Amino acid sequence: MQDKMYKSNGGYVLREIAGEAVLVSIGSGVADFRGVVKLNPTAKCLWKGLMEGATAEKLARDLAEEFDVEPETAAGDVNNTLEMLLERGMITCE
Amino acid sequence: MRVDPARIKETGMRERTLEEWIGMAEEVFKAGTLQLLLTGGEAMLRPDFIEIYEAIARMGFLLVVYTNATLVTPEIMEVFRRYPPHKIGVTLYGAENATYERLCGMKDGFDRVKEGIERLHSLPSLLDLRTTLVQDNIEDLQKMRAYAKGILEDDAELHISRFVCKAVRNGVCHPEEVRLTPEENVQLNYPGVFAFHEKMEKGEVRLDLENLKKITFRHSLPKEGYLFSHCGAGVNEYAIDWAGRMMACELLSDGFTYPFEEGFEKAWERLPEVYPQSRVPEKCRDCPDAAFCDTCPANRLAETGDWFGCPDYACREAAYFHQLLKDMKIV
Repeated sequence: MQDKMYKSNGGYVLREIAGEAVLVSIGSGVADFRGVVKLNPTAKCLWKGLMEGATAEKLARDLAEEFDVEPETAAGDVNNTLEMLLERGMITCE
Repeated sequence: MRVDPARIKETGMRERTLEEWIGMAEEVFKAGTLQLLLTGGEAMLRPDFIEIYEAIARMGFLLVVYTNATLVTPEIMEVFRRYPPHKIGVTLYGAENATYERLCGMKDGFDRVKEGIERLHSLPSLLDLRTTLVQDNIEDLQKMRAYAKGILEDDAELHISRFVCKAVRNGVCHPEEVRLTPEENVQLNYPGVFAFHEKMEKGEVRLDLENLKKITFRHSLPKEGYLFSHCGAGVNEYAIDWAGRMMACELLSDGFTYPFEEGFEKAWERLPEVYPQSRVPEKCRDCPDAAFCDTCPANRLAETGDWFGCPDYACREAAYFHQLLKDMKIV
């Protein structure tokens, strides 16, 4: 899992609506989800990394730095989230 | 739907160009508009519909398209497959070719609509079927309902427009000549109340608390303050028409700002200021039916030309609804 690159699949656009970060499905994303996903600050940070593409390690490092959490905690949260996003087809892994 | 090009020419207004619409979509996107509805008339009539649609769909709106489904070409389907709208609302005008011919002047209208709906139904978009009922298509209602039931997901039903108001913004049609009577409209929009009233008249049911729970109706009296505070028009939604005029609600013939000229942000900011402050119209103050009246400022303006006018149609609806409730001894 450490060396693999995770990337958003282009089916969602990150937007700021009235101070809230949300993902809006577009294109292929609409087939899976016809709505809006509200992101909390940590999810927003993670998604920004996924837009460019990153390893789980890099995503966890960025999260730990920005939110001042233990690297192990961040790594655990990132791995769980990546698993969930993969299951839902919102990101790819190569 | 008929358009009078001469009348449009007289007004000096013009359709906005492809570049202008895409530029406006970018502006409203930046300003934080989340849901965007493309509607008409019929948006697919524009020869550059595909270009406008694709550019907008790539931006990231919750995208809704309203259409009559008669112009769903393979080219439009190609772009819809790549960028499906989140929701598509199709307006039915009947459930027979003869009804479409009578109402829309299109001999094979229903066949074309069914074909269009079949295509749209192959998309992952949420499909919504709606209708506007008038004297010319009321006989098709049950068939339209059955057709909708066979197509829509999750037991969704055909949606019936609450109001058929007079033409707005110099429209050339005359809905008031073909719409249902106010009494018929109440029966349609409050079917539970009407059905219960019928049964009571026949002595089949009597009123008790359990039955009362099944009956719902609205009380709506204008409040002082912002004119559209009851519905959110101009607060969390707006419409921009084909000529580029912004308004709080698409049913308005007055009260515009001009986003293409002054920029979206300024036009949006200024919008609430162009409407008069709300107040209870004089005639409504002592009206015994006021609590049963479902009209709104847009409807008042369309029907009477006055923001605070009392549409005869709405007064008759309220009186009839009130009478039904009085007959049942609910009020």
